[in-house]
Order: sequence, then structure tokens, then C-alpha cells
Amino acid sequence: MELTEQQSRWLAGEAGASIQWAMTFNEALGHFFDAPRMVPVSSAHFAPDTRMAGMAGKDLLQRLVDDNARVVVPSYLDPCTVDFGRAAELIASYGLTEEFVQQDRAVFRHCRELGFLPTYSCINYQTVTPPRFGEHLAWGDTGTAISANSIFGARTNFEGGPSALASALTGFTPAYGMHLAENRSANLVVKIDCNPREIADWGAIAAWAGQIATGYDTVPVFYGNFSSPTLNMLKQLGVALASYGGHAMFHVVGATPEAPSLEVACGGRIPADEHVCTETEMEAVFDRSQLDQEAVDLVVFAAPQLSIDEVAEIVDRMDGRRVHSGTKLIMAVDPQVRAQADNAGISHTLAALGAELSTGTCFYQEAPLMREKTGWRTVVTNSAKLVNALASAGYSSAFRRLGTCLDAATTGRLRS
Amino acid sequence: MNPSVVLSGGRGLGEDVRGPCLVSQHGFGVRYDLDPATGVISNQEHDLYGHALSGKILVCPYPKGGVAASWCLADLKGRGIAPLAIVFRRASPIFVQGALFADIAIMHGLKDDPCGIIRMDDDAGVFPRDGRIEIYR
Repeated sequence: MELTEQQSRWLAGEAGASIQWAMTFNEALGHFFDAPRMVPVSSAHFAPDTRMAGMAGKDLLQRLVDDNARVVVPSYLDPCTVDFGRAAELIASYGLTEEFVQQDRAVFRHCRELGFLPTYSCINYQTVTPPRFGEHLAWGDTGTAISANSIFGARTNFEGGPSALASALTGFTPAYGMHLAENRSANLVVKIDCNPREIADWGAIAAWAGQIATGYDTVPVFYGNFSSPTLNMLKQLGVALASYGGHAMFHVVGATPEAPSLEVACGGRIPADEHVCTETEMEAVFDRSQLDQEAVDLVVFAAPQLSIDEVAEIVDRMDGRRVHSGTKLIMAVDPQVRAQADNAGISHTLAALGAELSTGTCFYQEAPLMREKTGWRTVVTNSAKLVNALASAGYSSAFRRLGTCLDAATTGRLRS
Repeated sequence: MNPSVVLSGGRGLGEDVRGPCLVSQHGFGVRYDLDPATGVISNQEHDLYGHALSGKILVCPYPKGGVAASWCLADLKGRGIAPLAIVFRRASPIFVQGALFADIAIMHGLKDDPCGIIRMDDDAGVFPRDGRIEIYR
């Protein structure tokens, strides 16, 4: 990989141990993927993920803080594992340990000391700053990254914790994968021959399409005669494609910026094979997830966090119905949306209906830590990704449309 | 010992290792399939459900998921329960980042399909710099 004179000096350690670590990490990554050079990034998005990072992550952050390292580009934080505003309640009633809460707190304190902004958001493109078409980013959280690539036409790979951190400290990332135009053209054509009407429908299409051809190199394009999807629908499509297919980019003809036509989305070479998603394929995704009991412990709207219009729609569709006494309704939002909900009086309305806003978290990270103490087993959600993410944590999950989810929340039963 | 089978043409990083293989026909994701506290596959729908990764060469067709793998491999290694190496048909950036951070061998892009040739419990040597896997039967 060709490095600039400055990057070579950083690699040699002339800018200190932290920059040398960051350059060494991203240089090795670039070498693996045959990146010809590094490109400057406009911003970074970093997921500390305290539970998954464990001591290895905490030690790395501590080392960087001790070395007085600082980020050099605007750098955003992914959700925490703990809603710190409810820490005492989460310890007393939900099974989080004091030790874990302190560890999460320390990790995010270190992030602040390094200069990260406390956005605690996996939808920062929607609630903080949307990326600009064509700009290079170093964004972590797969749902965040695929949205930046696909909905906005920005360019980022999936940056896990260490590589996003390295790019935040240097302002550069190796140019491979989604940074290169030749890797962004569609190579999987999906005709939508049904009528997706809400975000869960787009999640179902993604769960189906993601399993046709998995892999980072697969870029699906969707076309057909359907109502143009909203931003929230595209958000759900991307998050679920990343989850089920490992995809980092998609196109929807007429709705995403690099797909004015099917031919352009495919880089001028439309693949001969085409896959068709009819009502049958879409409904099968809903039908295949069933609870092992009728009683519903949890209804969760998360993965990704909700925008303010999604929160408002849920309140509207609740239509004054209270959450069932044996069920919890949890909605994950970032602090930006929480403030908007507070200002609009929506938080108050939700509390009066018995619903909970979990702020700065996205539920699936903390869910495994809560199951034993709470005894929660069954989850109903309109997020296809959440069903995937809870599979290893011992939950029985059902993926349903919003209306069915709200019926489950208010009756405590899933009947369809 | 002469290898019974040699797979070549791969791209890898990390040190040479030798050990028993865990072979899956499913994808693998840390958050989706693994209990990070124990290093045991905890997704009941996975074909390696109940298997521990510790000391094994994990062979899978494709990676799943995101950020979790970039961190968790290093944490598993710190607790002595990490896999020796990971082999995919095609790796994702996230798993390469995680293996790099953890200093665990990883390989992908072999000419032949590792999931079709390597068998469960095969004794294998992984040579990332050479892009080669040797199987001793």
C-alpha cells in the first residue's frame, strides 16, 4: 500500500504510540484487502460494545487515554449497553450487575476523554448529521454503515471497534471494499412483485433476499412496481440486509442515489439471473418465526433505534390502549430522539400507557444480561434484525407487523 | 508428517497454527451464534450448537454480523477460550479486523472450498502467510 510521507512517519512511531498503533492496524488491514492507499475520512462512528469488547477493549481505550490520544475528525458513538438514566432500576429489577454498569460507564467516559461525541446512536445519519454523497467515512455498526453507503451514497466499510477507533485517531482508512466504485455496483437483482407497506415488510424482504446470496461482496438491487419507500423503510431494509446477508450496500431503483435505473445500479451490466419476491416469500418470513407459548413477555421496537416519527406513529397506533400488566413494551431511542419526545410530550404519554423508552441503547446488547433475573422468554418485534440478534441469547422471538406487535403489547398474547 | 490434502491460493494473516477443525455449513456470527461468556455456540439452529471454539480451527462458509466479532475474538483470547484460527470461503472486513486485533490466524479465498473438503475433527495446519492449509489424516 502506498503511504504518504506523513503516514510513513506515523507508522514509524514519530507521532507517538497511539498513532503508531492506529496506523499499524489499518496498514495491516489494507494490506490484507490489497488497498492501494489510504483515503481521508470526514467522520468516524465507533461502537465500544462493552459486553463484547470485555477487558481487551477496555484496556485498549485506557492505553489511548493514558497516552493523551485524541480523535481528529468528528467522531460519533454507537449505543451503550446501559441506559444510565435508569441504572439503579436496571440493577435492581432487570439483572444488570453493578460491576457491568460501572464497566460500561468507564468505557464511555474513556470515549469522551478521547473526544468522541456522546451521540449513543446507531441512526446518527438520521438524528445527528447525514453524510454527504461521495464522502469517505469510517463508520461502525453494520446498519449505520449500510445506510450511509446505500441511502446517502457515502462510502464506508463495516468498521468494527478497533478500526473505527484507528481511523478516528488518524483521519484515514484503507481504500478497499465500499470505498471503491467498482465494488458498489449491484450483482444481485431482486424484483419486488408485492406491495411492501410498512417497515416490517421491508425487513422481511431483506431477510429473504439476504439469504439468497450472503457475503460482503454481494450488492442487491431492488426494483419493481411498488410504493416508493420512506427513509425509515430503507433504514430497516439496510439493517436487515446487513444482518441476514452480511451486505454493506444495496440499491432501490428510483429511491437510492446510485440507482436512477436498474442498468446504472448494475454498472451497465444487468445480471442474467433475477430473483422475484412475491407476497408468498414475504409472508413466509413472518410465518416462520413463532413463539413457543402464547404469553408475550416483551414487545420491543429497536434494532435500529427509532426516529421521532416512528415513535410518534407508535403512540398514535396505541390509540390510548394501555400495555398489558404481564408484558413490557420497550422502545429504543437515542438521546436526540429522547429529547424530541420529551419536548413533544410523547415521553409522558408513553409512560402513562405503561411503555418504556430505553435511551441511548438498542436492546439487543443488554438483552442477554437481563434474561435470567427477569425470566423473560418471549419477544414480539417488528425488527427482523432483532429476531436474528436474539437467537443466541435464549429468547423465543416472533417477527410481526406493527399492528400485531401493539395488539400483543396490550393484550399480553400473540394470536397470529 | 506429509499432509493428506493441501488447500492453497488463500489470503491470510496471523501466525502458523495446527489443531483440530470444527467445520460448519452455516455462517458464523459472534452475536448471532455465540455465548461470549463461554465461547460455546449457543444458537440452537446452528449446526455447531453446543461446540466450544477453544483451541479449534473454525471452518465456515461465510461470516455473519458486525461489530461484535471485531472485539470479541480478542476478549476470548484473553480468557484462553478463543479459536486457534478461522477459515471462511470469503471473510468480511469485520472478522479480519477482529482477528487482527486478537492476533488470531484467519484465512479466506482458497482455490477449493474448505467447507467441502475439510472434515470435522481433521487435524490441520494453517499457514496464513503462504495462503495454505494442510490436512493430516
